[in-house]
Amino acid sequence: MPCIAVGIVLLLVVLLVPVAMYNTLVRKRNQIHNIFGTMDALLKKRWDLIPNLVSTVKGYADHERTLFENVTQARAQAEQGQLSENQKVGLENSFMQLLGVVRATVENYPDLKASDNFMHLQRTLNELEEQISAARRAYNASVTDYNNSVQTFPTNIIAGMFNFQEKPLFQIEAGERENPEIGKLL
Amino acid sequence: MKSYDQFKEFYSEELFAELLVLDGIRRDILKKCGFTLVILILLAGLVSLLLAIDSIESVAFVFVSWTLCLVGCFFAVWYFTKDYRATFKSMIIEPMIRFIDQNLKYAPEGSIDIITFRRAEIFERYVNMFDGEDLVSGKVDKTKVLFSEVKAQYQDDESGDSVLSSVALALAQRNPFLALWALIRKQKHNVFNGLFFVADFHKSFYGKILVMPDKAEKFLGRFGSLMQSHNFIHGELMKMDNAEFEKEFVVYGTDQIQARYVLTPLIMEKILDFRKKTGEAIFLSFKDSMLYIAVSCRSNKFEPPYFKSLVDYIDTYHYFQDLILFIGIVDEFNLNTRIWTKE
Repeated sequence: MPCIAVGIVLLLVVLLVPVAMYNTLVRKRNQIHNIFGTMDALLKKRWDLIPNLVSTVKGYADHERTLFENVTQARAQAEQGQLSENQKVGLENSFMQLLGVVRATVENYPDLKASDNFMHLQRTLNELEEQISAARRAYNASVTDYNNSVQTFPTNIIAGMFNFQEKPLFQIEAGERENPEIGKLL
Repeated sequence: MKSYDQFKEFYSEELFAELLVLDGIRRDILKKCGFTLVILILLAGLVSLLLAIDSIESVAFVFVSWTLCLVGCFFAVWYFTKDYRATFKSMIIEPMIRFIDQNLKYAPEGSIDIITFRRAEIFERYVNMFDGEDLVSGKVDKTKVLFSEVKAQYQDDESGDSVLSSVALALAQRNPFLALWALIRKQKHNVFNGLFFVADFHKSFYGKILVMPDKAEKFLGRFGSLMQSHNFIHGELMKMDNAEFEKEFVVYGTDQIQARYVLTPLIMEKILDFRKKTGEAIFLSFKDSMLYIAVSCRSNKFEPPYFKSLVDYIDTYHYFQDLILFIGIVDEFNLNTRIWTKE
């Protein structure tokens, strides 16, 4: 009788442990998708601010046409909706540089810098950028956690059986690390 | 924020004269207390000598006289020192706060209220006894701040009966065990004793983020971390991207992105710095766009010494250091930086 009980307990452990490991992997993968979704929403929110930004800056600095065209073009590309994750990241990086140029340009127009509309836009952009940066950090933390589970024993056995692939981290592009060359961007 | 040199100047120009006056008062108090104690002890001793201890009644008289002597001693110490504490706070602590920032107000008997304390949701225990003192409040540039010493406790029994009535009832039933239990169950337990700081946070965010000292991971390693990930009282466990911060603290929150929006790499560094400066256990809560910090303290802050001279620059500088540590949080954490949508 005790042997049967021990056998049942062992069988349950053998069945339940892989189920728990599989569920953990699924939960971690879902968390990555969830954070990526939020990050996408934040990026979209930032792109939506662009028409406002362009019209506000145009009122004060109409002759900076090339800059506005570049910004509008970047937004149009982002709105195509058929971009891969890598293309999205690339576009985001070049947009970050463009935004830097817009800020540098605004320095030449004190009236624009002091206008309520621009100040509000600037604050909103700052907030969104910091939220995007937080989302990137959250994404990387989740990916690291997930990758650790995929690579370490014993969860790597379940990951191999059910094809849980490693995920790449969000990394700053080489171009983003360098200071943008304003001349090239305009 | 005021520098060391500025404080030195303020000490010699304003505080020194006040401290001399106060030290005179302190010495007077000590003399009065000493004299009263000697008289009371002599009286009690005299009563004991006059009454030959040969009967139960005389033993009772001697006991009563020494009890009265003890009560008299306590009363004398309370009576002679009650104004000294208040005078010290109004003559030294209040000007010191005004010197640091003109816009700050000081209420020696005031305290953070229990609702604010509970709103932070730092401690799991439901606090039903709350007291505090030394409230500092006001605006440091754009940021509203307030902090005070608090003592938060809870009583096991919530029935509302007084200890005496419970004990009396148990004794009437001739049940000494029940009487003892009534005494024990009414015991007060400390939840938090220290300084509690509240400030308007410079970013708008939703949800809650809790930063607590990491005891489990420190002592139990990975097993501790596993236990923390299954603590659902505070929320989801957050793994932060700063190794030193992760070692010192455990972070719980309602949203992974919001937690990192609030706990930026800079804020994490500042929290670590603040922890080192205090040298005590610190708890932080970010909720409703507010920042709450609880710093455990072993000693009562902003109190005058009784058996030591007040005219001591180092001791006075320690009061200043304690104040600047908390008022300086606004600058340290960049709470006046309003580059986000929150005005």
